[in-house]
Amino acid sequence: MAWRFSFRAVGWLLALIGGLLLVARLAIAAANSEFIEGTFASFEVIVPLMAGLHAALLFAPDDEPALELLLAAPRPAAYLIYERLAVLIVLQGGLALALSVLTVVITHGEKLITPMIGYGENLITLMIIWIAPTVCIVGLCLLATLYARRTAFGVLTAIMICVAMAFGREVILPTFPNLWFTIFYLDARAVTPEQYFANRAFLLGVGVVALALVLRRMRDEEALLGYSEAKNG
Amino acid sequence: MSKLNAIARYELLMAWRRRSLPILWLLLLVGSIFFTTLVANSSRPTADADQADVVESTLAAADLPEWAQGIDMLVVEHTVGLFSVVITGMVFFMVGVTLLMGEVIPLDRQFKVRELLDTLPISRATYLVGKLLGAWIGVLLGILIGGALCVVAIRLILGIYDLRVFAVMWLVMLTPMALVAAALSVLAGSFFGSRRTAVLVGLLVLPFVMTLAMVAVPTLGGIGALIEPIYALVVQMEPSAATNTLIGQRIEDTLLVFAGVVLAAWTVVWGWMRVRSAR
Repeated sequence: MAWRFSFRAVGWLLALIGGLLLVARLAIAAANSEFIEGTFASFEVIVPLMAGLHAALLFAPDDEPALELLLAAPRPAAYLIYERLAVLIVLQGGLALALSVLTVVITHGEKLITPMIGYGENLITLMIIWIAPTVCIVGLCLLATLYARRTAFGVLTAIMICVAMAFGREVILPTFPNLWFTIFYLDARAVTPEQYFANRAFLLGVGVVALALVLRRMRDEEALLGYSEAKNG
Repeated sequence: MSKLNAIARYELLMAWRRRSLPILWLLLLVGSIFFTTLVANSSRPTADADQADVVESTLAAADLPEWAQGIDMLVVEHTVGLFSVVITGMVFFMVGVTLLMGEVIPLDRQFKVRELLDTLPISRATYLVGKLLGAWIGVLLGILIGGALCVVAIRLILGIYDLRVFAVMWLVMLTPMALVAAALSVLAGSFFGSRRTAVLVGLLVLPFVMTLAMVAVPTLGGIGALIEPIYALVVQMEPSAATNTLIGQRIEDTLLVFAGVVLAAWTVVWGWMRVRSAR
């Protein structure tokens, strides 16, 4: 019952849109091999953006119907996040994984440039490109929605992060090269393999810390109810 | 009129208390100031380059066209750099406006006060215009406050620049686009009854709003040329009286198109609300 409710609360529309965009990009690459490299880059852009938007919609205390009832139930409030996050991972992660396999099979990964195996190609390499930014943005968007109590702030966070990262690679990085470790769309050819892995590890770390903060906040039921805000008028 | 004022005033207050307005204003400010820092860092010349520029400009001064005579090139360079600062601020602001303003009307249904509002002697038109005005006043306040703070911040970060040109670019590029974004977001959101759906609708409206903005930027960005002809170069036009006339005409046309878009959207929503209440 809880899982069914979680699936309904999470929705599948954004995963579908993300999947369609990736399939369209893949079809373009299949038709013209010159666009193959762009297909790998599109995973880096589309998967985190869609997962971030989706995460922003997971749990907003002010927009949650019957929040008091959910918090009064004997099961811990954190289960809400566990269940919805699991649905999100299955939907977004499963789709991205399936399309990654398809991409590697169709394109043979010929032009996939990786920091660890040079001009090699494999599924793991493609996954490294999108997993770290996705975990990071999911954590940050969940956190933004939870603390701001509204879905809109989480969605705004997702879009702003993606806009900033797009700017980051083209505009910020040339001016402030020391910020390479924060950039989602880091060009593996522009840094050393160690730097690339450090970047991915940093992004994963940020995502995990953000998720930990979300789960910590879920234990504070008074904060979830907005008790302190009501007290301050 | 007092009803309209009351709706607009309370809408403004609620947007402030929901923290939508402070976040929007902050977005505009942070986007603009951060990009100014980038412009300042990327355009900082070396000492050798400085000297070379002085020699070159002295040699070439006599050959300069009329519109470039007696102009401080450093001021022009900094002011031209501000064009991208305004565009960045605009992008940040418009994304925020489109996503945060959509909830204005759905919230009345989410908080179950819509039925109560329907019992009051307020026409649909007054209700819609009041909501729009509330959103617009918030956006305008942000543009004015953000602009005033940016004027100081840019002076500190970048140095001298043409304040008149920056002020008109800020007002003419930001105001119409932000107002259109707010109007479309508020009106599109009115079809739905929850804040969550309104955000999703904002996501759908966003590409349309950004396309409008990107189409209008090359036109509205030329406004500086009406103050100093050299700023026609910002929009890749040759400075001249004819260019200024063309720029003025284009700006007028763009503003008319914007007004038409808002009016059309407003009419559709107003008509839909009337049909819905008649059922």
